[in-house]
Amino acid sequence: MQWIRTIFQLGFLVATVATGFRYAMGWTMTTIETYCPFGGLETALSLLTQKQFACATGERNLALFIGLLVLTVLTKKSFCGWICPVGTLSEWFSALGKKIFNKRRRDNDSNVLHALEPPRHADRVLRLLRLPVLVTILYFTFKTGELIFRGYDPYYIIFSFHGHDVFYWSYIILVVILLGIILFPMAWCRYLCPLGVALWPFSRIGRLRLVRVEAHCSDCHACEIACPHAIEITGSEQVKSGDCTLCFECLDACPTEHALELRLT
Amino acid sequence: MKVTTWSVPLIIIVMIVLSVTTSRLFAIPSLTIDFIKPEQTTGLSTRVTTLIVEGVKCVDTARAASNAVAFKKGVVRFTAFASYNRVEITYEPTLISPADIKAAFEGPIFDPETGEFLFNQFKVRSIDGLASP
Repeated sequence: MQWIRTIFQLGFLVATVATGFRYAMGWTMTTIETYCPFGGLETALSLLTQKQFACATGERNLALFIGLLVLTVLTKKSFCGWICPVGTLSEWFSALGKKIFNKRRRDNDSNVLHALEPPRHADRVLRLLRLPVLVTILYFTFKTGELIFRGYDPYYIIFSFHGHDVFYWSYIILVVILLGIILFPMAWCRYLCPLGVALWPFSRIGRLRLVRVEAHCSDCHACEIACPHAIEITGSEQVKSGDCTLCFECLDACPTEHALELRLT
Repeated sequence: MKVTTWSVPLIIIVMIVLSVTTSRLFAIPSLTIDFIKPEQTTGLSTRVTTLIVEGVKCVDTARAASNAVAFKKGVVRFTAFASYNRVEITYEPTLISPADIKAAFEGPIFDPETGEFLFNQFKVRSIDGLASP
């Protein structure tokens, strides 16, 4: 299944690069923002209260966001693991970090940690950082009616090809984020991504889930070591975590047949 | 119920197609400005021309584009759909033509906020579905 996921990730990455490049060259009027579902969330409040879209957002953003919510309720955060180009780059930079910092270690609870990955209890607290990030972005976007966080957004900085609102400090922020991802696997997605936390409650109730069949499971923790989002799998019957992207890395890493199964719950 | 892992990419494709298709079914204006009060338009035989205007990409640029026709006689209403770069102008055909409206967008535009004229801000790509020369 990983090869088909890689094709999806590459396809969406190339499409995003092509859209950004074509706009930067003046060959099209369609920007990369047109396809950003987070724009739908940013504009939803403006639409409800002022009956107009915020800044450059529009119908497509809103439709994509609503579609994304339905997708998340069905297939958890598959968007992050299959579509999002920032998620794809995060995975690649995390893999690079794991190669550079090859040694694994264990925290006090015997969880296997990669690179400079924080211990699980700290990881859980750090994931809450996404909430103030989301609230801040939504508050100021609604208040100003402008997408004022473009210069901080890795999606916009990378794929807009130096679009307006991207300044020299934007690239410093981008480098810091990428370095962060190398040092702390999936740091952007886990600790900062505002869309990720907005989807979390919908992902939590996601109907398609990985189920651990205890009779077949050998408790080798290979699934947890492979999981890019450091989700605890062996301790529970189902992967209920709102951060599961159904990337199936765990399924592929599992040495035992039928120990993990995808089920409609 | 056990399901195949293939269901995930299949659902993703279906949802993308549904979302993009649905977005074409509704259009909400980014900006609407009535230059003549709606009650004053009774009796006028107005027409609507649709232009794709390069440069109209958000609410602010739509507002700037509205200045191009704000002082033109015969222009009744300006409606912008920024995410589609689309502008709809309701006009009185005896007073102004689509060609005049195109020229207004591409000519110097007076900005009442700064009191200055802006040049080359917008380019009309098409009028009523026909590519603009």
